[in-house]
Amino acid sequence: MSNKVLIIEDEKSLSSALSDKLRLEGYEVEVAEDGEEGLVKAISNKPDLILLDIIMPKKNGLEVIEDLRDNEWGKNAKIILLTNLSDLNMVAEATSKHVFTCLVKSNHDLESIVREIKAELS
Amino acid sequence: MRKAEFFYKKSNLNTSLLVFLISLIVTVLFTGLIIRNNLLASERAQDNEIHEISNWTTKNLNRIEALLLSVRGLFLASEEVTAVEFREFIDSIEISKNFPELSTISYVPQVQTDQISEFEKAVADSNSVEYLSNYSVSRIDSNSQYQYPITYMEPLSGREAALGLNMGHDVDRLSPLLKSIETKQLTLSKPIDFVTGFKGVLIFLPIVESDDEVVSEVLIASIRVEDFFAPLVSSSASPVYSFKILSNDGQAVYQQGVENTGRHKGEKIIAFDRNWQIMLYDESSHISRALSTISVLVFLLGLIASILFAWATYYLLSKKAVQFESARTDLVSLASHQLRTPLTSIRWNVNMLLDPRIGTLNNDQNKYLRVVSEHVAKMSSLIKTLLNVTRIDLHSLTNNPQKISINEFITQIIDQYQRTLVEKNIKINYNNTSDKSHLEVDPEYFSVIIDNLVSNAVKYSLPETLINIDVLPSPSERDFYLTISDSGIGIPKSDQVKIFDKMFRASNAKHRITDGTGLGLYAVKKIVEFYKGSISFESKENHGTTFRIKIPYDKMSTKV
Repeated sequence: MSNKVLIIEDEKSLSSALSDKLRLEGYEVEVAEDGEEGLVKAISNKPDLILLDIIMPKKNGLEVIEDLRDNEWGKNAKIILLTNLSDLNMVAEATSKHVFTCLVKSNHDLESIVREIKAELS
Repeated sequence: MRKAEFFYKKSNLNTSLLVFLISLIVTVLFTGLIIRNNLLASERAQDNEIHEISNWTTKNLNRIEALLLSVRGLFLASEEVTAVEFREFIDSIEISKNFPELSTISYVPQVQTDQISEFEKAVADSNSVEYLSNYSVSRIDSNSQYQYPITYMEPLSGREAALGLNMGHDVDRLSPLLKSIETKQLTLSKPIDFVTGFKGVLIFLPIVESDDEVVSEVLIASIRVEDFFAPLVSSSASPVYSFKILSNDGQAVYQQGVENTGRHKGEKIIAFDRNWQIMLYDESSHISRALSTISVLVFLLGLIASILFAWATYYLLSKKAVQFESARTDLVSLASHQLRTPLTSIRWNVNMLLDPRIGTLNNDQNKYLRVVSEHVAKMSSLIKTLLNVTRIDLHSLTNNPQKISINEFITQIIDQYQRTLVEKNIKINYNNTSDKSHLEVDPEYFSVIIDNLVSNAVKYSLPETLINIDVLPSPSERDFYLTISDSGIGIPKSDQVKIFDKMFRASNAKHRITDGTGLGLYAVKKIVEFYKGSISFESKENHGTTFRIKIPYDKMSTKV
């Protein structure tokens, strides 16, 4: 059975490339465009991994993590943070909420992001 | 940002302190100038005062001398001067009006002791004035050859008892009298307490026309010194002075106020053909002379102004710093979000285009897209460097350590240069001989360090050479220890001291490769130092360079 991945990312040009890539790699992919939508989709679909942007409308990545950790299913959900360089302080905070993988988007090709996802899910 | 604020506050504080000090120095100089003027003015005032006293004293002593000389003229002009003639002459002068300080003028002849009775009789018989008929000389029980009885005295009123009083009855009167007879000069007594209660001096003027004659008569004026100096004391401009008049034998003739050990001035004057000395004593303290109300006011105002200047400087600079910093922060976030997101988008979408599963591109299309992909990566890295340098300059580096695999991390960075390595036929030999496989470090900064060192080695290596990257066991076991050596163009000796300077590029590097920023090694050094580590290098031009970094593990893994 293929792994379910939820991408929560407000920048469509990024989320579409990333979701297409992951589908090619055989993942079942769902996309949410803001934190609120992401939280709803996460709790109802229970993906194996969430790729989470930090700076987003409605609910930012940190708030999504906080709400997820309050949820029975969500407290053990696997999350990879997708960040920009300037979000470092938020990354630190996320680390305290048991999110240990953070990827600076601009440092990675899609290939290396796929590698990280595989590592996280293995 | 707290560090950055501290940095600005500290530098603002220094500038404000400087402004305060400069302003204070100007204030002190100004106050000093005023104090100096005060002291000069007080000096001048003292000079003026003593001149005034000298002139006044000289003038008035000379006036009395002139009076006595004119009375002597009366005696020299006629064989005998009667008591009535003497009275009339004195009255004509209007002594009490014109010479208020003058108590009396007396005529005193020198009489042989054994002829005193005859003398008394002669005076009484002259009958020139009614009171002389009772004239008798007070005899002194002495062996003196001469007696000096007061014969005429004007203004007389109430002083009849003084007539016949012998001037030889006490030494203070007798000695200046004898001296005047001997020297035939105008002579002054010491200050004497008069019977009438006042203090004064006697002036003796021998009645003699030339030095050849023998003196047998003397004119005596008694002067009340208080009254003599009264006009001077009451007119004295400043009450802060005391003065003392000394006759040439060092006797104080008059003293007004208190003699003190403070500032004093002496001036010599000549009166009665003799030297006199006037001493002027300044009673005011040094401080009161120096500090005028204006000087204190100027100093206080200056002090307040200095504080205000310093405060205003601090306030304005802080405001400016806040504006400046927020502008920089805005730039940081703009660069991160607005520049990096589209670049990432280009990168990922090109990634997709290059994926054969989407569709096959021909060779040229493939080549062009790879060039795009490479340059996008380069631009991302440039933005990353700029952001890090901005953080360094703002003193706002933070450390968010994550556990990374050393080998994986370094290999990934090396992989990014695969194409150049192939093109230039350069081999990288990477070895980790330390006992560590993982590190706790902020991957962002760690990648700045490793990436810049690897990128420089690759960029400046000569073709067909070897780059050695070694993670070595550190002697202390507490440090991450890495060396990277290339056989490249090297760093010219003259450029070596500046190699870590911001925006500096070695002359041979600039010449060969034009697209460097001169920010890489600057950022590497600053970050290594942020971790309390050290970086060093050895280099020989056209032979190669070896960089060594040493960073304490515990500093890398501490969250800041």
